[in-house]
Amino acid sequence: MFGELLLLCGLGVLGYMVWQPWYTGFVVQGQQNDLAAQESDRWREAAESDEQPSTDGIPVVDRPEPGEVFANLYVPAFGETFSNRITYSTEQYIIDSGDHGIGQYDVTQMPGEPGNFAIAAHRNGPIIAPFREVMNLRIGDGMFIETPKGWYTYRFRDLEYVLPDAFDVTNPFPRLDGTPGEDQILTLTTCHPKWAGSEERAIAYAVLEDFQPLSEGPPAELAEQNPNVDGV
Amino acid sequence: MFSLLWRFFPGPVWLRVIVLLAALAALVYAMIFYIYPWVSQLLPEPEVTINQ
Repeated sequence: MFGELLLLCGLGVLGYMVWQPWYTGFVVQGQQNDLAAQESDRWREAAESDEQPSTDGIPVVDRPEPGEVFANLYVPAFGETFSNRITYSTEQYIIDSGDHGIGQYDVTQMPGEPGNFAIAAHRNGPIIAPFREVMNLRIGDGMFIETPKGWYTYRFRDLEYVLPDAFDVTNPFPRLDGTPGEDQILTLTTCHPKWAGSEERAIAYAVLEDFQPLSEGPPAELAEQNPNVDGV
Repeated sequence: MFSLLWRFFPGPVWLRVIVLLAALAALVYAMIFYIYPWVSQLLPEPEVTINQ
């Protein structure tokens, strides 16, 4: 009787271990893909309706209110259909929420601004885990940020492990002091090791390579890799 | 406990098998859509941010 009960409990725990990756990987990820697609449509319609002044260079994304969704992240290396909304502020409720998941450090610069655009998300959160495949990144992989201003294409450069107090990874140039240079960096912070607590952090860096306005459609490279993104 | 369950439901063997399978399906459904989501809310969230 007691043994049979233990057996049932064991099956229940085993079921949870199977259920959780399915839930965060398919159910929540599917919801995020839908939410990101809605934002994308909204921004494209807004961009079509108001005649954008042709600007030289790369426009800077407006600094949002805390808790506001202002961008989508697409990383084919995280899964070919991967997309996730980016919310302003790294408050715990944003990082843990299935509706948000990725938060921007509010002390960092916006896309388009010289400096560092740093974002954080779970790698093995029980509810949402956008950066679960961060170790899949290889040098040269494309990372794409869609905003109301347009598409920012970043190229993955490298990855390092740091301790949780290494706040200098969010510096305008990560790990160095001083004023922002010309470089525009995208920094991803998440926990390490995966599944075994979070005594360390994994940090991924990418460098801005290209910009194109929404009217030119998504980057051809992304449209080729992600079947949910329509090329023009 | 499994023998208690077997004796709990009345009827012929084929009916008991069907009833028990239905009960198992209901249990699995409840686990996936109610119990596991509730458990995931209670689990500690790993820290992902860098702090000063």
